Amino acid sequence: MANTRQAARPLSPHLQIYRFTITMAMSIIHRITGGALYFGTLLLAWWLLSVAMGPDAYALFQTVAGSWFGKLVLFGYTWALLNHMVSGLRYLVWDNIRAFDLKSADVMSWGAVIVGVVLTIVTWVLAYELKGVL
Amino acid sequence: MAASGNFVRPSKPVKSATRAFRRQRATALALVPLALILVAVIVALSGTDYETARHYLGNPLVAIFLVLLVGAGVVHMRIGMMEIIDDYVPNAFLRHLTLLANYAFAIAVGLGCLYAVAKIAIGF
Repeated sequence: MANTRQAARPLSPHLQIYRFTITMAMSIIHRITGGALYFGTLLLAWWLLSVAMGPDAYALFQTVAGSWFGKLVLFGYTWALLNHMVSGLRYLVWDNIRAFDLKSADVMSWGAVIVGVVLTIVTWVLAYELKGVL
Repeated sequence: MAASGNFVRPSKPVKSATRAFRRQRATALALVPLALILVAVIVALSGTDYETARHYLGNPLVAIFLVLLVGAGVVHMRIGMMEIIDDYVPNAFLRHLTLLANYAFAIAVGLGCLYAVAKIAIGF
């Protein structure tokens, strides 16, 4: 390894001099939201188990989920889920070698960012509007 | 990086990697409607009292939906985390250990959810 770089050969550029692209940002965000959703399944399990276990367990879940911190986590979970879903649709398209040019890739990635945020906000507006309907 | 000099051996045969690739896409497709339904169910049930939540989650259609969601979700998240582990854990021993933990986590979450759904729907 030590002798492989002998003369002033061009070095490959490192992270800090790469131009920001939305595709690279969405790539790592897809992985991070995926990882977050992985551990977020514990929340789904807790919710279902609390209903299965009885009123006391459910009351505890509601207290935590209804607190400001709980709501913050749930808001983040909602965004992570919807962003990961819309972002993942791009990969399903690209897997088929469609819309693979730079322009389409950029448009789809920005589209995924916007649709993910809009769906998250719509979800929470609906959640507050429909409170107590059932 | 840690991989310099020694080749990072794949943790699984190539055939099973192709199977994982296909499964990841199939479950991804299934999870699009399932995730949207989950969001709708959570929105509908957010802030409801215990009896209401139990009543609606015990509905056969909702219970079947939850089984499908958990089934597809557990496979999808297990493969996704496997890809992350394969990318970032070059040490073979540590990788196998984390892959094992990954399996255990997926199975535990899956069984926990399915137990809850069964208990709510059937009521044992």
